[in-house]
Amino acid sequence: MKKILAVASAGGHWTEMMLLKEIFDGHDVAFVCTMEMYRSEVAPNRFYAIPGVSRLYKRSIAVSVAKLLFILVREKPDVVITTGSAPGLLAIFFSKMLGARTVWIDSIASIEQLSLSGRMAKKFADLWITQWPHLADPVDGPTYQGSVL
Amino acid sequence: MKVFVTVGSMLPFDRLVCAMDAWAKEHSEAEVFAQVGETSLCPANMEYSAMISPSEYRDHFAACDVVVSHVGMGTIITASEFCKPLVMLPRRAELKELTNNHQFETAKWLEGRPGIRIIYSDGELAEAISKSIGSDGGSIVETGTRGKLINTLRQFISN
Repeated sequence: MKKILAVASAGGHWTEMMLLKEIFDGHDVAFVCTMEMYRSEVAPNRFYAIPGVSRLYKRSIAVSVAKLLFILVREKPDVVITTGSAPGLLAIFFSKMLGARTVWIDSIASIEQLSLSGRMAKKFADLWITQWPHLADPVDGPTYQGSVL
Repeated sequence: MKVFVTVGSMLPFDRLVCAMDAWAKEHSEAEVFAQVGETSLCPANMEYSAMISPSEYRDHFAACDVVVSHVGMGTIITASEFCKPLVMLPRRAELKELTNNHQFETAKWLEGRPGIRIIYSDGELAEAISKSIGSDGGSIVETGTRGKLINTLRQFISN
């Protein structure tokens, strides 16, 4: 049994994570989302809400980072999985430094190119996934392994 | 007839909210509920809430006849699940409705699929809604590759 931290922003990112829920069967998983109201969706699993981060909400980055570090120290996950967005990128950045293995799953909404966070995730993701075959590249791009749909 | 409007949590989408409020005024027989996000607008002709919980979201999906929304992936996936017809207006970066134009890309990918009507201006709203009423939602998107993704992830976790 592994300790897993699943990080997804509210909305589509979270919906995509929920379609993958069965990967957590048999493991100890805690969830991180940008909205408290999603807690009941994954009860009785542990759940943490952090502020959203984007180019539009620059002020909340410090709070998100502090909360994420608190969560990572407390949870000590073996594996961190995110479907985005920016808070997920922060999560795999810090958890990689703390020794966890990391997965970035770029949203299926990023069709013509990887999301900005997805491109930055390359350096911090042990498994770097796009959900579109045409965005995969065996040399220096993400890998395609199917999609949530 | 019940119409569910949803614009997601990221940014306001006042262009759609205003257009739907005007539509609701013209169609007093319709029951419209709108999830409008963080906006200063106060729609006068429809019920609304800034945010709703995932369970309320699903309740609205189950009860409505048609969904009118931005081009959000969560909405697309949920509409597939409930087989509801969708009318979607993509957000535009140049109007500061989004930080990039990925909703346009998604809209192009969705065009022509059964159960979904993509519109590019709010002027097309009334016609798209009336065509959607009573039409099938159908499963809009299904690639059949989820099992492969799940296997890959399970293997990675266990290693």
